[in-house]
This record gives sequence, structure tokens and C-alpha cells, in this order.
Amino acid sequence: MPTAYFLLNVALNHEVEVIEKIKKILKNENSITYELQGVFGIYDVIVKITSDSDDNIRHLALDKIKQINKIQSAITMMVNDN
Amino acid sequence: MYRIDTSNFGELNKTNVNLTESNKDKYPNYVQNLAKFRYSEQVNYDRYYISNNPKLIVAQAYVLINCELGTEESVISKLKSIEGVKEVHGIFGAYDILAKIESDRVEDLRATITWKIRKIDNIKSTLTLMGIEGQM
Repeated sequence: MPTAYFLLNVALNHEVEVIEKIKKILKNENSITYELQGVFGIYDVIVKITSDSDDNIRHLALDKIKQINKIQSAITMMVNDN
Repeated sequence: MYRIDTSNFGELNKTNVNLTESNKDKYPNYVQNLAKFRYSEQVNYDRYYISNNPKLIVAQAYVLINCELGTEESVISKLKSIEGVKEVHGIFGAYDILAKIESDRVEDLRATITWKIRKIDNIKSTLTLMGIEGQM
């Protein structure tokens, strides 16, 4: 199953708000499983998305998650299944 | 960092309980988990956080690893053998490997990362992201 991790930087003090928004988006998607965690460190939020197609993950990342205001940067890491 | 929600405890509303092989069944699972079956050892509840579920909230961390070229597979297999490492993935991108570590105490997490993960050969750098309780 294609899996991707996203490392997000969020505007200061907007962590919880962004997490809730991402959750709302991902909850409405049927064909995916996800994990979300606010973290301490150089990134603020880590998101894991597993879906049956690469395209679906790409669509979610580009068209939905990255559209959220207050997300300043996003690093995508695709899992190498081998 | 650790606090205890005593409202879940009911009759267990005290800070210390002696958990032994013979009396462990009287206590709910999450208390047994806390003690990790260290029988007859005193369980100090102040050191743990217990959620309302009541299910033990574990401390978790993500570790992003850069390793020497071509050594990813050996590093991944070593990581998988370490206690507390729940997930390991080779990844494309700025980092080579991502590991998720869980434990019931932050100290254990720290020890696992510093003494076990960082000691693995061929690991060039690690970057740890500690999970924030309440932001998940």
C-alpha cells in the first residue's frame, strides 16, 4: 500500500487549529488510513497517510492539505516499500 | 510531564499499589500494563499518565534517520529488533529512514534513542520529533 509521511511547519500558535482541519479533511476520505501527531522539534505536525493509490495521496496533499492556511511548509516523504 | 487522573481508579484511588502475581487479576488491564508485570514491585502511579478511556497513553516519538548510502536495509533490520520500535520505513526524500517509537514513559523513549538507535553502525544523523500529548 502506498504510504506517505508529511512533515509540516505551522504558524505559531495555530497547531491545534491546523490539526483539527487536517483531521476533518482526512476523516471524510473513505479509501485512506491516517495518523496525525503534533510534535516537538523542528517540525510541528507529522501526518501519515496510507491509500490504495499514489495519485490519491498526491491529490490529498496538494489540493487539500497544502491549501490550509497557516501551513508554512510541508515536506513529503514517500515510503519505499522495498 | 506525568500526572495521574485518579477519577478512573475508583477503589484504586491511592498512589501506590503492590502488584503481585497472585493479586494482579483484581486490577484492570491498564494497571497491569503500567506495572509491565514487574511483580511485587511497587507501582508508582505519579510517574504515569492515564487517560479517561481508561487506556494508557504512551509517549511516542518519530525519529528521522540519515544513514550511509546502501546501508539502509541493514539499519532497518537492526531498528526492527529494538524494543519499543513500532514502525520502520525506508523513505524517499530528505531523510532515509523513519522510525516510530512508543513507550509508556518519556525516559524510556529517550534511553532507546540515545543508547540503542544512535549506537547503530552507519547511522549518520538522527532527528527526533517527540509527540505532543493532546495534539493527535
